Amino acid sequence: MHLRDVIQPATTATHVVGLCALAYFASAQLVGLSGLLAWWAGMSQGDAVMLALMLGFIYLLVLLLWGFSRERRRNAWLLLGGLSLIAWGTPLLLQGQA
Amino acid sequence: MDELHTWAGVLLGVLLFAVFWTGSLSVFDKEIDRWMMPSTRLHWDDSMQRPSLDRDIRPLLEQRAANAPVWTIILPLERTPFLTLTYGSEESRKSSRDLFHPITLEPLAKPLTLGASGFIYPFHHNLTLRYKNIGAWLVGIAGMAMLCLLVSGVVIHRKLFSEFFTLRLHRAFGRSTLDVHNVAGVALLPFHLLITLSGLIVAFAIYYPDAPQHTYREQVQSGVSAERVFLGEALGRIRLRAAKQPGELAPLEPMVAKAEQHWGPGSVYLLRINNPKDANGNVLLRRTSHSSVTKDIDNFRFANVSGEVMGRFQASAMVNTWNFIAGLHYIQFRHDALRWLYFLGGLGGCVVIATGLFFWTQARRKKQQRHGHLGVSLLDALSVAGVCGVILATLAFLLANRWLPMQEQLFGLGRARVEILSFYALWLVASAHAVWRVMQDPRLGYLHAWREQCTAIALLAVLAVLANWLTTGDHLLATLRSGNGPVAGTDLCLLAAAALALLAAHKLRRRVPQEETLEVAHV
Repeated sequence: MHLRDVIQPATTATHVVGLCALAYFASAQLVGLSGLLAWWAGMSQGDAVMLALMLGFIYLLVLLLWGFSRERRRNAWLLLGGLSLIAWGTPLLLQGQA
Repeated sequence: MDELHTWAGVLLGVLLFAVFWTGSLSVFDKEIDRWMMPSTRLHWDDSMQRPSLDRDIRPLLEQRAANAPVWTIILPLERTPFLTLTYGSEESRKSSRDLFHPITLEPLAKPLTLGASGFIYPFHHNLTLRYKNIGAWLVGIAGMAMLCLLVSGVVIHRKLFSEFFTLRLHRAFGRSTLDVHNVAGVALLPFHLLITLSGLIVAFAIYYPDAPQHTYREQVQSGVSAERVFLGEALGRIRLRAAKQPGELAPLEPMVAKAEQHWGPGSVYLLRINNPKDANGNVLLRRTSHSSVTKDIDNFRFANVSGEVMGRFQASAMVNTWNFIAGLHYIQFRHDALRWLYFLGGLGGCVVIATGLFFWTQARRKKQQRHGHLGVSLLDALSVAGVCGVILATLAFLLANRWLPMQEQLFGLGRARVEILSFYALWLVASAHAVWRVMQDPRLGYLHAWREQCTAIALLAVLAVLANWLTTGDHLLATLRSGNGPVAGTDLCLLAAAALALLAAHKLRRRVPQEETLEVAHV
């Protein structure tokens, strides 16, 4: 057995698990951001969070499908990572200014 | 997309099958309960006079659980035709539960089983792995994989509509398997999308626990749990502390009458009396969701001592959107035909998953023979164990329910626990059988394993019907004649399952010599 026979499946498994986790993290951050934006747009806090929660699963589905349909793995990681950072940082920035 | 469809299906197909199978059974959980709990085979309809809460039911509570911090009264309904009283703390999952005849209020014999609503339904949403919600997370991962499978399936099956009209059952085995997978997948696509997405959305609190953190930042900063505030505000879930001062519970009937002035007569089905002997106790009333798809979470809360309305929770339009989605998944509305369609749709999902797994292993077999990998053989065994194994396990659960002696303790364990052990034990045996068969003959062992387990399904299903007859006297003709729908329906489904399993076993038996011929030609 060659070393390549072990490394290749391990890399694929790491990519799959990692990308799923990153997509989930991104969707969770988008849920937080959506709730905040919906609240600021005039919804009650409960309604805003409920709307964001229902959207969360759609976000996750779209991110997973999009991530796994990229030909280049690096692009998927970079774009999902970037989106996560933006969705994580925006509420902190907005709340810091408010 | 092709790879995503293949690998999500192959890696999570078995788990998805178990979730879809138990979900389909959960559509009729209350009916299966009646089959498993003969003492509850009663009749109730809304025109019947329900027992008086103050005159008839309160003495039962005082007698049995005078000092319990919570009393729950669940009034008889068509699908649960008995009075249920539970006593315990709000925090405890294991409150004690007693059932009573809806008219005479005689205590019913203890069922000594969790039934379908206590085991099959929880298995559907958390695999009964409750520690840190591990089971719910696994089901959630499988659910999200199912959504990816459905969308990627649409993308990779570009000729979606032509495939819908292409069912060639008499063509080659692999071809007909793929046709069944495609036709069932396309025809039931909207249902599967709806049921999977709604299944995820109803459990939002597990999958996105931190969602309220940003929106409720001010409350978080003042030391209050964001989740608790959100659940109180959006879903009306609040807890009021006891005053630790004695108080006398006011009559319950006027509270129900007041609530039903708003909700309509006969709409209250549940009363939860928190801290019944405390000055700060309260009585929560909930209404049935029988007449609408939307799950009703509205409630009335009355003060324990004065009997005055403390508050009325009415869900907002946004929360009712969630309630509608939850209602689509929980199916608490009263509509038998729709319930059967849900059941058939769920079984259709099982067919899509099982044929998908079967087709994949079939297609990879030739490649495997060239390279000599064990992977496909192992997946063969896993497919048999995951599909036939879980069906056999369910039948073992039903059979154990009917065959085990009606004693609270058996082999040092509670009877209900022994039933559950029977479920897992037979699943384990089926898995071992599948592995043994596949390892014994890597080329055709999988066909033998499928065939033998299909035959075992047919046998156990017929035995379950017989066991019901022998232990209760309710044979199929009697239940059909007396209009006992839940029991007759369960027996008929078991017989239909036996017939289908026999048909599958017969087709597989014919397949073995064909495969052998193909193998010889290939060599």
